[in-house]
Amino acid sequence: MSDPRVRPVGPYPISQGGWHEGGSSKAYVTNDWRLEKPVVDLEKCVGCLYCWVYCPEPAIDLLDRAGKGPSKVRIDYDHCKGCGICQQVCPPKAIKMVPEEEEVANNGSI
Amino acid sequence: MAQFESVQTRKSLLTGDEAVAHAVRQSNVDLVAAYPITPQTIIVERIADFAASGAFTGQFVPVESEHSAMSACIGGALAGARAFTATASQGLALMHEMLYAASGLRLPISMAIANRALNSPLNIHNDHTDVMGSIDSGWIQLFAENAEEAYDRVIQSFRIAEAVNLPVAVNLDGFTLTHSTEPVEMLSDEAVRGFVGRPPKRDSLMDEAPKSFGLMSLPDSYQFFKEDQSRATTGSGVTISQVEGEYVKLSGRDHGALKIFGSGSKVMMVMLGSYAGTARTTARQMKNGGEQVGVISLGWLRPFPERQFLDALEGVETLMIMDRSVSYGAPAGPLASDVMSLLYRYGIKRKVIAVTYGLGGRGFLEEDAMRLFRYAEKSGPSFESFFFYGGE
Amino acid sequence: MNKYNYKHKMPRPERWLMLYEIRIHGRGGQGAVSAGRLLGEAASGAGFYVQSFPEFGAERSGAPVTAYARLADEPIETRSPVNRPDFILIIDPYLAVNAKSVMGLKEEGMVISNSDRSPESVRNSLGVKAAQKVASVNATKIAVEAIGRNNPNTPILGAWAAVSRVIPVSLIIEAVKKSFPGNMGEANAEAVRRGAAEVIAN
Repeated sequence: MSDPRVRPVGPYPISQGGWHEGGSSKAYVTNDWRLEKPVVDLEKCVGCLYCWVYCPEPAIDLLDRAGKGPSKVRIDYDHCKGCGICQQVCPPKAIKMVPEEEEVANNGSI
Repeated sequence: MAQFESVQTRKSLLTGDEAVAHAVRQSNVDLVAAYPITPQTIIVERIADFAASGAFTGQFVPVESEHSAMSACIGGALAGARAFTATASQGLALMHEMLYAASGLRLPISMAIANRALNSPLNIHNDHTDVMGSIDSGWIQLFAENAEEAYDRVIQSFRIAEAVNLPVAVNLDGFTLTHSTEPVEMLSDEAVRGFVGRPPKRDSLMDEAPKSFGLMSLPDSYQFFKEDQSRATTGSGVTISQVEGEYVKLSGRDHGALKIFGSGSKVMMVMLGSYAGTARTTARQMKNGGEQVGVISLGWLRPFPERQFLDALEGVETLMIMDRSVSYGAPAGPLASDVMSLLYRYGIKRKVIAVTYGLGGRGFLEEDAMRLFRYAEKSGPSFESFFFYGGE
Repeated sequence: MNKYNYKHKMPRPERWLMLYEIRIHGRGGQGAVSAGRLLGEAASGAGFYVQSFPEFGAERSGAPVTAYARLADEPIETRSPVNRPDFILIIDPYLAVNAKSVMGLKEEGMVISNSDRSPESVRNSLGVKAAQKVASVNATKIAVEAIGRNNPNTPILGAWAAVSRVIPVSLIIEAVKKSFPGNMGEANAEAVRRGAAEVIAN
């Protein structure tokens, strides 16, 4: 049995006062909360970004980030918790929730 | 007390919080003023349920803060009511100012503290940082090891508070007790009502002849008030024992000032709260393997059960004192400091290892207890008497 | 009752004549914590001393949740979480593919999983050893049909009682009826019965 006085290694380095670099929630993957995931039908998506407004997480991203004009959306599956609000608010009904184990393209659009 | 010798009991599965709420419901309480905070929330929720359904017949006052909760209890107690509140962590910290008012006014108020860590960093889990910050506020501090003990001690707290004119806090570990479901043998409502009775008549705001309370006291007298208060707290042990003795006749359950397992063992772990059960389970296994280890689990911290503790030291060589809070910059943790000053005062020499562990809900498994027992048993040249234990 | 040969990291005290340790995996909202409590309630009816508690922390709907239960023939004092379970109940089928769910399972322990797949298939995806038993039951289907919503905890409890034989299924039904009054109780009791009847063990 090892020496009980030795401090065990923590999950991350400890900073004085517990401050942290900004943007840490990006690395905190929360997708294991999800039972169903949203899938975007790009045929129907008009890029109105209602889903982006209502999404409680920053889980809606632009499909075309480089372009200056309007863009359809993709889902950030690392942070989507599967609440389904995007499906509810989507005006053209382009988003549907599918069971988590269903295979979809990486960007969550079909 | 013959009528209490046999009472109907009912075995229920309850969390620690629910057990406390039932104890309050059964104890003829006139006033509950409380503000919910994790992990005490269920106590307040259940009492609110009981108040809504009529099972709780006193006044339930949902207040806007813990400071107000204690203020309302003080007002109620001054009017002669039996008052109860419950809190935890930041709530106890916010209440801090009024804790001294309650004890200084010598009011019999009861409180449950669902022990939890304090900010910062934010943590909702269990340790004893909150109560140790208020340990010198003049309240009698009792600790429960399981849900049933929390239930029993809350019932007893009303009798104790009213007998010695001091407020009583019953501490139960957040989550490990408040949210764990265990069998609790509840006494019948009649038995508890009979046991707690009605608060004895005392000087109150409701008296015909006007009285004023909360007066100012100048350097000529303040110290004497405090001296009396201190003597009352130290001397309350006798009353607590009497109330516990009466309660034993009622329920058959004797929690006492401290629980000793493995009396006279070479190594004794001194603990507060629910983790004592884990240590005892481990000690039992190690004892079966021929090792000389035991556990002292304190049920009272204020008043410190001096006589009972000293009696328990017979044959003990090493005391491993387990603190779940930090006194920053102090020679040791709060519990260890208490024990060491007691030993010094009576000229008793024992090897003392002061360990700080389990902060912010950090786990304490049977394996952890075993590692620490083994460390205390061997203690070679690299022996260190004060350290933080963080597990593996 | 099942006789298990305890091979603990630490020797169990001899006075433990019987101790069952159970770990339940589910997701916030599916009733893993209430499953632990119901199991305790039922086992208490069989004369066991029980203890049940969740993995403490903020509860979030959909997030993985762990709950623990201990049944013993004497008061339970330890507060350790269950690291070496005799039984693992998996309430969420998506957790039945995660080997983390069966960590620490005893040599002759048993997994009871919610899954529409066969016990063999569950065994393979979880990497459970040959000496350990696996049972599967489509608890989601039963729950949706019997209760009308996806609360697969009660069918899993029925399945556990049926295959483990630690306590009779009737006690689980009694506990369920006590916790859910009226129609909900009847529906959940039916879910327990079906869970017990439809479980496939391997």
